[in-house]
Amino acid sequence: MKNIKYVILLVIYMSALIIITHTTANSEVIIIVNKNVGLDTVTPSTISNIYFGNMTKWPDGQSIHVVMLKKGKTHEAFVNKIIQSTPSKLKSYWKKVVFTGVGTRPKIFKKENDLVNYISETNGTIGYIDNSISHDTVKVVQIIQ
Amino acid sequence: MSQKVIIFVALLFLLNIPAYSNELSGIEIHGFASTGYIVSDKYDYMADSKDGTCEFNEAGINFSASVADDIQVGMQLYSYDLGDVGNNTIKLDWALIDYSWKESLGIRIGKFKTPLALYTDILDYDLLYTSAILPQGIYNQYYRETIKSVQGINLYGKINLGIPGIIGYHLYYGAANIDKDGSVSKIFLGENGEFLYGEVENLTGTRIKWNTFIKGLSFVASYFQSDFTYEISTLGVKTTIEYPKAAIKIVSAEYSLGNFNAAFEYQISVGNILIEIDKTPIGIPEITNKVDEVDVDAYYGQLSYRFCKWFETGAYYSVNNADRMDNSTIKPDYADWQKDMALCARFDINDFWLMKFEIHHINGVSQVLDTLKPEDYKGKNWTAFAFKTTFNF
Repeated sequence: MKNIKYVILLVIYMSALIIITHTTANSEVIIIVNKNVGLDTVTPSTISNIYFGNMTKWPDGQSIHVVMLKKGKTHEAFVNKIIQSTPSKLKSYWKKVVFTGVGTRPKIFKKENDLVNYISETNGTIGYIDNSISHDTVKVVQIIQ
Repeated sequence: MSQKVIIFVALLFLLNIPAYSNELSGIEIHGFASTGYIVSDKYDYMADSKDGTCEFNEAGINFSASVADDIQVGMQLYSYDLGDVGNNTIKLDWALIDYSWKESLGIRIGKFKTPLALYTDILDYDLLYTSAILPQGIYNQYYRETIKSVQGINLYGKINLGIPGIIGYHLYYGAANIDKDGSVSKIFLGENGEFLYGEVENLTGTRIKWNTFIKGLSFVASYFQSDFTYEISTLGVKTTIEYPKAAIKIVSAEYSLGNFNAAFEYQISVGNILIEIDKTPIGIPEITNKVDEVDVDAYYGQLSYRFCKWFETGAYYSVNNADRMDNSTIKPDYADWQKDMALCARFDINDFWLMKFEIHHINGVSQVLDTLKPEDYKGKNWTAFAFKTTFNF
């Protein structure tokens, strides 16, 4: 009887672990752009250049408008894994832009749905969301190495 | 005046916290206010620090807007107090119109922050770096007004070379003002001096930055040249100080990966200062001329690491070697150099508020003001402590 109790607990634990792992595996940050941006693939290096101001124009010449999330898991995954930096460095870079007058701060959203809506309505924009968020109104850009 | 600025910025700060988006009819509004305390054991450093002083603050507020897809306008008001200098007089820090025509060419007209070395453009905004005081070997507070902003034109751009990396460039030309209550006046006026005229003209410069193919590694080469003129009257005697073709050359390297950051910069400044002392205004028909050679080299190495979201620490070793204008033998040898070992801790309490604590062990006094009298030299080793807290939105 005592062993059955342990087995049940173990099954519950393993199930929880599988669910968490499965959720994590499905949780993936994707790069989205406005549908007028003529870009289908992008490298992490290019995304990093865009978010740190080293690339400010799309290949067709229109201005790139960076859009960001304020914080959260998606933001941290994007900064740490895709552009391989840290949230504090990214924030510091944009504060430098603002206080030295060389640009304006990007649009920052708390909710990913709001970010998608803004990108769908604004030419030249780029942002990132978790792929579980509805994104029919924007274009997904594939990340290639 | 100081209180008004801080209250104004604080009010805007409070009004903007809930929204996080600091916009008013398409105009972005951002600001910061900092206050600090500095104390030293043997010499007054930057301010009257021997007794400890809170005259160590800054505040700024800016307004900017995109008027077209590639065109941006903006301005920033700024005030600071550093001992006798600044005194929280509100000044225009930058005001410009920026047209980003293409990736490889943009143009900025108006008053803009000087693209020079790694940190000249941010030396007034401590929230953007780890330490409370930047390495003084290169970022000397006493000369900040002559280098930190330029009124003129700036061409800039970036060229992607592919595998080798990205080259960014700035070319600029213009002038800068010298204020009678500024840091340069603190150096030259003395006790009885009266400010007559000060100007930095024919200011030209360039900065080339290479973001290399190694992620996080960049190199910068900077050149800055200007014609400096300053006139004072001391008890009727007119003194004109000219520093034609005053040149600064700086090479820099920075490596930034994850939470780690390292920087190294080396600077040389060489030239001649021409001093004319005219006694005719007091009835003595005598004009004397003197030439002082400037030969300064400086460098620093800096490391910093962010341990977590709210804590970052750093250290730097900064050296300034200066052949003094006055080669008087009554000064000790350590008046010709200053070696500063600094340890700093930065606490980001939240997105809007930070605190810094910093200790300096300093050898030499070449960057302590030249107004030291022989009896003021109290030894070559001394210590300074700085605290700073900054709000921004």
